[in-house]
Amino acid sequence: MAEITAAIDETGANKLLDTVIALIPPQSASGSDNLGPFLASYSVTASLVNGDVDLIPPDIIRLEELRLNWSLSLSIGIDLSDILPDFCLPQVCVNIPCVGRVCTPRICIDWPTITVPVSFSDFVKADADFRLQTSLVSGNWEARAIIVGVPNLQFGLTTAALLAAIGLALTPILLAIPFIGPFLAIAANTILAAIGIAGLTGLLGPILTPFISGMQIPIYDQPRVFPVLPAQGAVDPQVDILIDAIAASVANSDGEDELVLTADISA
Amino acid sequence: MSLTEAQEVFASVHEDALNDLITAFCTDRPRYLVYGSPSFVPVTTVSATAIPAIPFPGVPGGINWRIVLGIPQIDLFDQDNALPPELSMGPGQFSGQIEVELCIDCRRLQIDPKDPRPFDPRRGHKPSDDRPRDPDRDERDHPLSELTCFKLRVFLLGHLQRVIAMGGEDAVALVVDQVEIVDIEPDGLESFLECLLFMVLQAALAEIRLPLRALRAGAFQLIPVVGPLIEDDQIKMRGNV
Amino acid sequence: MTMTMNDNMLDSRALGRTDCYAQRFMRPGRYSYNILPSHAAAFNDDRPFMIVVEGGGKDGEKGQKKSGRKPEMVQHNVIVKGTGARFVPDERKLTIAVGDLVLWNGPGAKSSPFAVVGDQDFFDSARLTNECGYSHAFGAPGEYHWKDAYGSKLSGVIKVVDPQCKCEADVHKWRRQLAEGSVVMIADGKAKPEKVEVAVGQTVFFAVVTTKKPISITDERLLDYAAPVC
Repeated sequence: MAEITAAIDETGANKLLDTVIALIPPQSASGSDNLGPFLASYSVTASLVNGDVDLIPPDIIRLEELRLNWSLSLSIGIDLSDILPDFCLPQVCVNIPCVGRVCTPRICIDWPTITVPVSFSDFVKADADFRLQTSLVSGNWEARAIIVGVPNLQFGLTTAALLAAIGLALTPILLAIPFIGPFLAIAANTILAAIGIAGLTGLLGPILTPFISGMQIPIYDQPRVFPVLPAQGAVDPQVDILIDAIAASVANSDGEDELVLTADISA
Repeated sequence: MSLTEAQEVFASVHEDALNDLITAFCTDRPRYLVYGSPSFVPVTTVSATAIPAIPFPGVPGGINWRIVLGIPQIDLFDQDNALPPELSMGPGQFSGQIEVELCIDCRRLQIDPKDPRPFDPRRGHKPSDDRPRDPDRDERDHPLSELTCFKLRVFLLGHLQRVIAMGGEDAVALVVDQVEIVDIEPDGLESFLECLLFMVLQAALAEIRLPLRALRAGAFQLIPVVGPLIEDDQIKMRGNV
Repeated sequence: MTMTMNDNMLDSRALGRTDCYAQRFMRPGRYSYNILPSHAAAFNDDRPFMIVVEGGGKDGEKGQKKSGRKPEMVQHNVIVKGTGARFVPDERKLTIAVGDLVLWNGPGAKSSPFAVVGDQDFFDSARLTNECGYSHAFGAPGEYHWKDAYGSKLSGVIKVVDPQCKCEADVHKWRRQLAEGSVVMIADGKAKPEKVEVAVGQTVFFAVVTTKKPISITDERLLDYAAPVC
């Protein structure tokens, strides 16, 4: 029989994980990746919000609708020459009185490469299973719930909204490009079509999945030399016990699933 | 029944772990087991707590005594350890056994041949250096000073009480309800010693305040709603996050 | 390659890729020149390139007037190639006849604005004087109020309208429009017409016939923050 037993039911586990997950600091990542045919550099910050806890014996904590709030700053480099037709101003001839006919040469326009900055925030939900694991790390007993497998993130309407945000950011940048006026709609439509939902999913998936796929939830973290009482003056030193072992599991009794931690101690 | 029953969080500590906690307390703070008057314990240290001597007219400095308690061994209900027939452990109670050593500094006093002086409560009586002595008689009947001790095994019954530990933490303390010393005669002496040790153990054990956090080894936050209860050789608590 | 509005500024002192500078040479002779980054003429006295003007007899124009024949003007185009701040013409030495017109254009994508700086006062794209011109194709809609950066009263407005292409037919129509240029004649300190309306992409040719002092055709927004010039 375990010397010390602590158990928490699903209601309590929900509250506990609300707190624990809220304490996980926001995580950030940056890099560059393909966004459809374009290259996008990105920086993303994400934080987690607990979902619904389902305790599954013998050692699984299932979080349903675990929510990842994310803020993305994208910088998309678009070489307009790749998507717009070559364009040349034709030769222009004018008659100058008393001089004669003067013609400008045909002048071809090289479409520029533009950089489109887009900021976008949204959330994505995922169901994820976490397996309980205990270990003694650097003198601390830890019980953690470690994610099992890589959840499939469903972005749904997010991609359409992000595509719209890119379109919104794109227009004023295109408008500033000389001679693009008549090509504006072509350019915007071509860019958005080239990126597409698939392009965004292809970008967002690899960027955001690691925030969840590497997730560990701390359930228990106490020093092996566990302080029972702090020092209280010169004649009352600190009182410690040793935690010799920790175990974590999900147990079912009378139809109720409980997250159970047990500890053995010695003086 | 589930562990948490109608509450969200459950915590229990088995009597073995409770004894480990008490042992840790008593090992790290032995002064809560050792009490002595000035000739034994001049000042309180980590090892021992100074207490006054028992004042008595004509005994210079009073009667010096010492009491040394062993580390109590607690048995939570259900009963596992045998108890004297006078003690009967019920639900919600614990029993305990503890070794107690009582010592007294037994000294020969010199009688002052001069006129008895009125008792001055401020000064007490002091032996005068110029008073004659009979050294032969001193050595023959009783040594000048002799440490006289005896040990007893004391059985006790008690219950738990929620208290606040220093620092404001929720804690439990052991409350002694009854003390029994076996086979001392005359009965009056047994009763006397039982009463003395009842008071001593009540006070001493009340100082061992074990935070609820320690009773669950720091696992899960728990605001107690039910307990602490003693049952199944454990202290149990139930509450909410 | 990136292109911003700065690449399409209306300023004869700083020739961009959609600008042309034209100069007519009315007397025979050897006219050396350089092509320098705009506003940098004072920093370089080298004139490594040359226009050789031949014909017209010993007294040139006077001879032509005597003969009563009006010379047939021939246009010669010089393409300026540039990387960064270094520019070279496609022909370092160009031989033309008296009365011919030379037109410089620098379509180099990676070049910064430039100026054609000759060894004689009349031959300088940054300081337009006589028998010369400057053309600019307007890349974005808006009203372009231009002034002479050297302080004369000369000014005008070019209104550039969006062609509002909604369908392919509109685009075809617009593209045909691009071949039609407009002319602003500048003579005796006046621009005619003072106001011109064109569509995005169309070219306006500023023909400088005579001026008492050198002038520029400069978007007045540039003068709001530019250092004063003399």
